[in-house]
Amino acid sequence: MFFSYRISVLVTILWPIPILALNIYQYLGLGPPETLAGVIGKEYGIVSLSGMVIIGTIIYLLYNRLLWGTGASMQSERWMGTIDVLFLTPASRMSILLGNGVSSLIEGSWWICGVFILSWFLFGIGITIVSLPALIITLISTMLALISLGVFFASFFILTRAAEQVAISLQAPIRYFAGVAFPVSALPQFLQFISYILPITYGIQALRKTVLTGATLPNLLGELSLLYLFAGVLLFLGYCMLRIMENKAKKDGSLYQY
Amino acid sequence: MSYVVKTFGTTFKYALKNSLRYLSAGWFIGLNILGPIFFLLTSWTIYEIVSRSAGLEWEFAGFSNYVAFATIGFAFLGPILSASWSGAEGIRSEQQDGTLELIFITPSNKIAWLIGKMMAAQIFSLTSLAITLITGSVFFGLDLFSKLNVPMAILGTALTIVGMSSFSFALAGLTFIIKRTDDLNQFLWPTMTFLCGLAFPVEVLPLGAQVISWVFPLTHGINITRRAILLGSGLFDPIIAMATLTILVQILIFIPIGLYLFRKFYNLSRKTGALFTY
Amino acid sequence: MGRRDKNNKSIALMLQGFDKVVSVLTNAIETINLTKVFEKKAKISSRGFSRFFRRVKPKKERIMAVDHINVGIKEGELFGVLGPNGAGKTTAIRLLCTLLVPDEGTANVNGFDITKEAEKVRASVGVVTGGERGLYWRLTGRENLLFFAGLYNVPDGVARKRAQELIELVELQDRADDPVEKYSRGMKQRLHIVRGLIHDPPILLLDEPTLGLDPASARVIREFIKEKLQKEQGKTILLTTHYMEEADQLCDRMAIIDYGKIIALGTSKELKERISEVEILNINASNVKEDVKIRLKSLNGVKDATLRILDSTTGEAGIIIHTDNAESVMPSVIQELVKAGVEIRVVEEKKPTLEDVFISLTGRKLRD
Repeated sequence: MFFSYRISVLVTILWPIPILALNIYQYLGLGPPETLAGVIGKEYGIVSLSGMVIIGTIIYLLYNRLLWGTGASMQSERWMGTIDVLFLTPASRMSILLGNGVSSLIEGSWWICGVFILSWFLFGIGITIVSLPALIITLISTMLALISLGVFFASFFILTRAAEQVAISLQAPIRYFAGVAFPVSALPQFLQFISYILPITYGIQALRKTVLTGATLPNLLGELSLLYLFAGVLLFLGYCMLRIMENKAKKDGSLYQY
Repeated sequence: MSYVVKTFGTTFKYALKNSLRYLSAGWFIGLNILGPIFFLLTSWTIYEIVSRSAGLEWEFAGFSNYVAFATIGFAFLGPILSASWSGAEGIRSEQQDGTLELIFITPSNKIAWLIGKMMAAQIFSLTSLAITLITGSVFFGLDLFSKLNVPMAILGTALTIVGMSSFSFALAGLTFIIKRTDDLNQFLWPTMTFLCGLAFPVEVLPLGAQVISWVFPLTHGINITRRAILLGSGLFDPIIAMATLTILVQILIFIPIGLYLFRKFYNLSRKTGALFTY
Repeated sequence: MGRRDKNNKSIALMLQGFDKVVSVLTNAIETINLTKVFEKKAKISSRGFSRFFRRVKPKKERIMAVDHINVGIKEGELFGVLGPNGAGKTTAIRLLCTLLVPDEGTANVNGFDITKEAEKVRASVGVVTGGERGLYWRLTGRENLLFFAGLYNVPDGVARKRAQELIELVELQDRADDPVEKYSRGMKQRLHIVRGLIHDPPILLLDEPTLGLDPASARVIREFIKEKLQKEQGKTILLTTHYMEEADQLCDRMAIIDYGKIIALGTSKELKERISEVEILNINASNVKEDVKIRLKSLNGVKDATLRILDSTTGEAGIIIHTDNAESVMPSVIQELVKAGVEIRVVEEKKPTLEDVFISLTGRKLRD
């Protein structure tokens, strides 16, 4: 799809860079880099300021890609008028959604890699990867959890077009509570519980540990098990909600409205 | 002249009605309120991390409260999005809905029409600006109003919006041909957010990036408004005077360029038939 | 060339020019060699990786969308442009309403040149495009009308009054204040038509106004166009369509267009007469005897009569009459058959259709 619009290809890689840079320079604007590195390393166990922000941003982009690729794919089907034709087929709705999710993951992976490499080049990351299997498993687990989140949201996209507005409205809060630009432990205690009900938070924490501090699989058991728990629960809930919402949409005729 | 004014008024009225019915409360809250507020919250959190851990006090060019500094910057996020999107987005959505050709069949002034659409979008962004400032004041205890120089703040905001509108004209013209200016917009607003001193002084950036930031009217407009609100400065402040002069010169250069590009691309699209494809 | 010949030639040229001036002055729409060419990239023939690695400059293909059209449409005339999809009908409309600039030639609409006086042309025409697009879905029908009234500089009071009149004209008064997204297809089409009328233009350009409508709604629209817009209000109407029945029913004159060129121009009758001088009456009857054929052949205006016996026991037969004018000969034929004791079941006049005309001119069907 992207190759038919050359500008799209370039812009897709470039647009996250300024926002990422914004967060990095917010720190740099507050004090000398050496002081900041020492502060953040000592207090929060993060050895690379730019690495912390870059990894947070990458996982957030992945979350966005999977939310829109899986859940919001129903919204674009509604827009194009193909949703009713799709629902006439005997194909399993879950397989349609998971198919959309995996395809958007593959489609998005090249540009997320592009963003990662470009950010690394521009700002440096301070990589300390000790265990490659830990890195791969962390990435896969995060993707699974985020695909499941997309499937869960899909049911709302089937029911109402307002779901798109809600999803867009939630982008900024999720970016904040997931700790994209700072460690979640820096948030006030009463706000941290919001962070810990978001699967993306664990994905960011696990990947930061793997890439920046050389964590191995035993160090990541907490985050990984929570990611799998989220994946399972959200998939199950998504399946149930999908059936309920589809029936409701068919009853009140909102399936065809766009 | 009255026809031009009528065109502007009619477009403004119905674009606003259309947007109010399209943008539900959820959408408005999400895009225009939560966005700037969470950028602000991120700034506050980052500042808390640094000041709490390293005990650093922040001070720059007379400003001593970083969160207040960032609040003024992020209050302009709504106007940035509106000014750079509304022209191009206005054209693109009309093309998609099939109403663009019907607008262009009328003998009305197309610039007046476009300005009407852009101003309707600005209503939401100015609301967002006000809400961000009030949020900063109420929830973060920021002193935003005790030194406020109201006329200068209004002038700074107005100049910023007018200056950024020139970009909108050029992008609107490009939309006739390129169709995918939403991609350009997608890159433009984060770039301006990063470069134009919303979250940190422009002087923190490498020199090359600073030079680029001076090209944007937004950089100077935020500078004026920030100094007017937080320091109560007026036109006799040399920094404000310089910024005002710069932005006026930019407006005098950018707006004619923007208008020229709009007309050029419009005429080109009438030749190639690109007006009808989306 | 002798002096007399030179004089004759000059006079002929002067008369031609005079004709032209007269037609420009009297015609509501006049096109003069109107031409529009689009360029598109030709397909790259190389395949595979060589496409990416070779510096292949794509050739441009020129598509003649409107090819030197010369047509004059009189004031108050309902003129049709009939042709298949992609023939150039919509492009012609877009040229006339100044959305496109011609590459060659020009046109005068309401006395104004489309290239030099575009704003005056826009004030003179109402364009109806139809379909699902072209309306603001979240605004009501009334608001859509008032918005466009504003863009046409119709004073507010006049706009409100006219909007109400037009809404009543198309029987949308019960739904005028509902958002357009809740309208049916037929209602949207009616709204499209009155949107084109809000500034009371003397000329209407209707681009496939009944496309996609059910037969009942289409009939309502056609009657509205013919009775209200043309006959009552005296509008000059240019209507494009690929429905031959619509062109046949509505248009005073029509042009058949194919690949951007006008291939035939005239009234429906004139166009059909081009391909056939003979009209046919098909009669299905019973109790028909052999001598009926001789009796029918002797009638005035009957060129030939043939009999096809379908059932010898009941005397059911098909009778085919060839004539110059089926309409005028029909009463005498029926009278003769009744005299002969024939029980008439069906009388059908088979005339050549516009589709037949199109096929004869192009070798293919209108809907191909």
